[in-house]
Amino acid sequence: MRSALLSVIFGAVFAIALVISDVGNWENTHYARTIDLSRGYVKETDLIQITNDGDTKQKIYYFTLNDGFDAIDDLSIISVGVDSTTLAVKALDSGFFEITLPKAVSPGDSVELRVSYVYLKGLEPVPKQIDMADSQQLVVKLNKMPYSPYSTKEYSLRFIGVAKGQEAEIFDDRATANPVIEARVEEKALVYGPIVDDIEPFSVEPFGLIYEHQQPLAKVENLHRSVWIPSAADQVQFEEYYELTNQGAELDKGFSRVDWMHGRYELTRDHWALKQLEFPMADTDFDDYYFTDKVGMVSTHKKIQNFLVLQPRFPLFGGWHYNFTLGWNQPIGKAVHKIDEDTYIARAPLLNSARDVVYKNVYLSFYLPEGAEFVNISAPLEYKQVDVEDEYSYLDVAQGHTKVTLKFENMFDDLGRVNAYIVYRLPAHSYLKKALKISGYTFAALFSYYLLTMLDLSV
Amino acid sequence: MAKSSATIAGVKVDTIRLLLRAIIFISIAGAAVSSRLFSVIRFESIIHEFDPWFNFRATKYLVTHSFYEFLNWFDDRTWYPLGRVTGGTLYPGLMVTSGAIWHALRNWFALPIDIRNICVMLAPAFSGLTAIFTYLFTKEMKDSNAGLLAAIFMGIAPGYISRSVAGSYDNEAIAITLLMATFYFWIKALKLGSILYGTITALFYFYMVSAWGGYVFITNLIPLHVFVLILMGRYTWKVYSAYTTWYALGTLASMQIPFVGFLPIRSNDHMAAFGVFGLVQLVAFGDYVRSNINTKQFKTFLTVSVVAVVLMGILGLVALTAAGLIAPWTGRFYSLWDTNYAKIHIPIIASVSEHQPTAWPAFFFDTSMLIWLFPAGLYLCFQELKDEHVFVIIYGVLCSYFAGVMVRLMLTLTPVICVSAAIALSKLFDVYLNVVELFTEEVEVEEKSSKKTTKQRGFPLFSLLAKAVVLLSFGFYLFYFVLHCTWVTSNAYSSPSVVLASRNPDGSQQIIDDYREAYYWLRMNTPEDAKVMAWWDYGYQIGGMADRTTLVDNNTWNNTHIATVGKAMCSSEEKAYEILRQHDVDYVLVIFGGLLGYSGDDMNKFLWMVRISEGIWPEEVSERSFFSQRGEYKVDGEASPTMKDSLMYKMSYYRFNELFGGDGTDRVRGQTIPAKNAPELSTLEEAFTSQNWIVRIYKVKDLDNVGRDLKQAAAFESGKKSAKKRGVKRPNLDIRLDY
Repeated sequence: MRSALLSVIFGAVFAIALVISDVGNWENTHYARTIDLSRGYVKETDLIQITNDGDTKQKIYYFTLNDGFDAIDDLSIISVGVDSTTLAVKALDSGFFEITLPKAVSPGDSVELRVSYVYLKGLEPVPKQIDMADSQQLVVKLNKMPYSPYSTKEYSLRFIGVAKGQEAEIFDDRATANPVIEARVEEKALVYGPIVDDIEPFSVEPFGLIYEHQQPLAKVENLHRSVWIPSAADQVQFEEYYELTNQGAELDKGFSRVDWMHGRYELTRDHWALKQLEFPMADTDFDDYYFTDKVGMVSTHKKIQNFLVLQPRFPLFGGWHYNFTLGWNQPIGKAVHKIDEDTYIARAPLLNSARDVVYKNVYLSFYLPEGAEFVNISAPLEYKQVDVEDEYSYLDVAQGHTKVTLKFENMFDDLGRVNAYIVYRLPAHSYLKKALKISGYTFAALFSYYLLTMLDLSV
Repeated sequence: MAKSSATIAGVKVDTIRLLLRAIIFISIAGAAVSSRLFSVIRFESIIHEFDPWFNFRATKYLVTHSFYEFLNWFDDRTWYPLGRVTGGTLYPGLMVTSGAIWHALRNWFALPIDIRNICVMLAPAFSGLTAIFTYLFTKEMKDSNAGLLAAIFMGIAPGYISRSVAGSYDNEAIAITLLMATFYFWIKALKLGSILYGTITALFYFYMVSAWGGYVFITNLIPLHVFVLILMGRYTWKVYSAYTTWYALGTLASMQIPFVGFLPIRSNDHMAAFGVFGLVQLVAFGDYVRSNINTKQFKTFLTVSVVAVVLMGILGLVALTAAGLIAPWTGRFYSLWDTNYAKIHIPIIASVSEHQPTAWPAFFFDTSMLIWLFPAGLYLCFQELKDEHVFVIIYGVLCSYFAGVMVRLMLTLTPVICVSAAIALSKLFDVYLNVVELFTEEVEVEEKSSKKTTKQRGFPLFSLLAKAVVLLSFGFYLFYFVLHCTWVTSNAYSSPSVVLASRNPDGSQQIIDDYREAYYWLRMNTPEDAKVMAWWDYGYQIGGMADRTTLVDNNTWNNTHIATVGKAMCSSEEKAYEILRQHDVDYVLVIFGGLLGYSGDDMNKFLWMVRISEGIWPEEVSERSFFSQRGEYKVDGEASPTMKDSLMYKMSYYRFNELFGGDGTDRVRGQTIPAKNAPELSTLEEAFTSQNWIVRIYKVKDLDNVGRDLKQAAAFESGKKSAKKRGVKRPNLDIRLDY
């Protein structure tokens, strides 16, 4: 699994880069940044050709996010690769990422790194409040220059997923003197450079790009995703509770149904109100799914082609919220495998991968069968915490189900392909134990009733 | 009748009978429960209507807080800014029942069931119990055959189903069960003169008091029964011990309910029971005296004491009422005797559809063939006329009257209709099913007359045929009854009213979910402390689903506050704005059915708002000014200026005609809303309108600048003063005994 191999590191806090005394002697010969703005988050891919500028062989390269003026927040993942291999990345407190190359690079030799990272906070609607008929404009704040501990020789910056763009100046006293870089449009992309010039280490040139984005910025503040693994049945139950909001532009006045009906925004894909969520059915079939919220069932849902489409009760404009629950069953064969005698391994994707949605907090809970013993859990992404507790459920007469919860932060839709794995031990007789216990109780109750009827209570 | 020692295929007949009875009971309970599940199957497990939403909310409060917190619950999220002493003004029986079930299932059976599902399923579950108690009750009247018939009638009679479908989580859901249980144990106590049964009666009476304001019915019916028995000269020690046990224990117990408190010794509604209690003592004393002196002396003694007691009683009652020690009769009580009373004096009671007099087809609709078997059953009771039959007769007569006065009292009539119809029908079956006798009688006749006649009378064809015709026709009636009950339940009583259903052209069901859409929008997208003003009908639903503070709700305890909301709805925007500001209103919610043709909307209720506020502010609001020149209720071009100017009109039709691109059509009232002079709003802003326009929510705008603020503040002061001047005396509303 490709995604499982990704080595990923979280880092939400960015201190102003403290210069590490010894960053080695490297030079960025080519530095090409590509920023994908087609989704509700920012995805940056950097192709960096690095050259050993020193006298000795070097193996460690330090990478910094292209920031420099606190524009990037809520970093989701960062991954680094050379050719087709993925490298280990170590986040340092100083905001540096330490990359260990697969083999040492001799002086004068070069190697090409591919760094990509995603961060959630960085897009903002401008103006914040607009009319229903207006189009939504977002601004992304970026450092126009590469922000690297090393000097850069050739540099280019490229935006994709942008229909109409417009530059906005941002003044920040951390800006440095930089060479001029011109923009042009090339194959539906907005391209700056390339320029061949000496760009100093830690160059900062804040700028904003205002672009039209007619999609909602769907964000789930909290996602509680629970996986109920049965002891005997053949269906795994999934239930997810979402706290959904739209981070896009707000309405400048109240919601007018007349305007909404006249504009036919309900039917168009090209409007920034969040009207529906689309869950791909590639991995899950959503057998007997249900869609409810705190006031009961919601009737507006449908399976269309390969998607399960859920429509909230009302369209979500910027700042509006909608909490709901989605649950479904899945055959156990896909999720649980037997390792040996009484040990099992179960897997579940971290997310449900609704399209174009970002997540702040994700709580993934496995409910093991009653009587199961939790052995181990692992996920390819770093989790913030893991909790093991007991939860009582239907006819749990002993200690209840063991519930193992992983907490993740700053997730986005593509991470739905990543699985978490849990290993547990379930002795074969534990299932029988429960059945016997329940029938024992029932028998005892009936028998005591029988004994009571034997008593003569007549006065 | 089979003898107990008889066997069929080696099994005792009694055993078979027991088995059959058990199976019949299970089937009856099954039929009773399953016929109430239409709405769950068609829609979902959801709380229905209006009041159940409050009960549901209170139950949630109970299971999340302690019992004492629940009893002391002061709810500041309703009746803003007054609040409501909810814990002291509700009947906790229903909530405590479902709370206890919830705890029991969770803690003892390890079944953590959502409290909502328990609330939804409570009424059907209790209907099964009602059937059993009806069986026992009827068995006391006749025999177990009649009992089984009564049980099945009770299980599926629409009159009872109307208040006990799944989701109809109302006090009546358990109250009817308790009513039948109390009556059964009362009859049992009376028959046996047993203190044990008297105590059980008191216990069930206590449970009933804790569950429903209709307990007053029992409080008066049992004393009436005793009173009639005494008048009929049927006083025995059994009557004495049953009644005194029940009254003493029951009254003490009922006083433990905070909402009831000292009412049993203060309110006139309870005086009959108290009086009969005294009377029973006197009669007992008289009985004792009579057994010790001769008849002549006793007659004098009787005359003197009866006159003295009656005089003292009446004087005492009048004096205590005048002194204010006994509460006067409540308005709802008067409206039981004079159906026009409420319309004139208390429009708020009259505005509720279930307080209207019953239309005669409702009797057939709700009980089908039972309604004509009912008098037959009463007649049979008269024929036998034991003590318990007197009870059924009194119950039947009283309730027939009450059910005629108020639609909702149909509910208390249904059990006695079922019982008495079952008595009639089972008598009929007793006679007509007895084919054996036909043959044995024939044989006897033949033996006597064999010498004279020949053998031609071998087979009683015509008698058999006659019986078969009667039985078959009643079989058909019964079959038709079941059909009717199912049809009525399915079509009339199984709509949650929160969710509406319509049919697409292709026949598939389409759900119209505007209420929940709008309520959920309020819940998700308004500040948690936002105050929502709406007509009182929607108060409980807003509290339950939107979880926001309301100004008025279905617990109509404060008429003035409701009239204030009515006044805001029917006055002009500027005047209404003052009221809205005074009450910190953030959002105003109206129900509008004009687009969809949904007739239960606020424009159709508007005249009640006008009438209720006119009762308080007759010089400011006048019903006449809302009618058109020709005295019609119009919303189109001919609508009166006051109507067009009113906040309710503006909120309902704001930008409505734009949807039609010209003149709009109101599908409920079938009138045209002209595009010319379309309503405009300046102090409110449309905040949300649901998909089919059923719910429209407006936001109250803030004061626009600082300069106007002071001026407005001064206007507030004067506004408060002027509101106190009232020309007409308001109806004096007492604590309500209902809900």
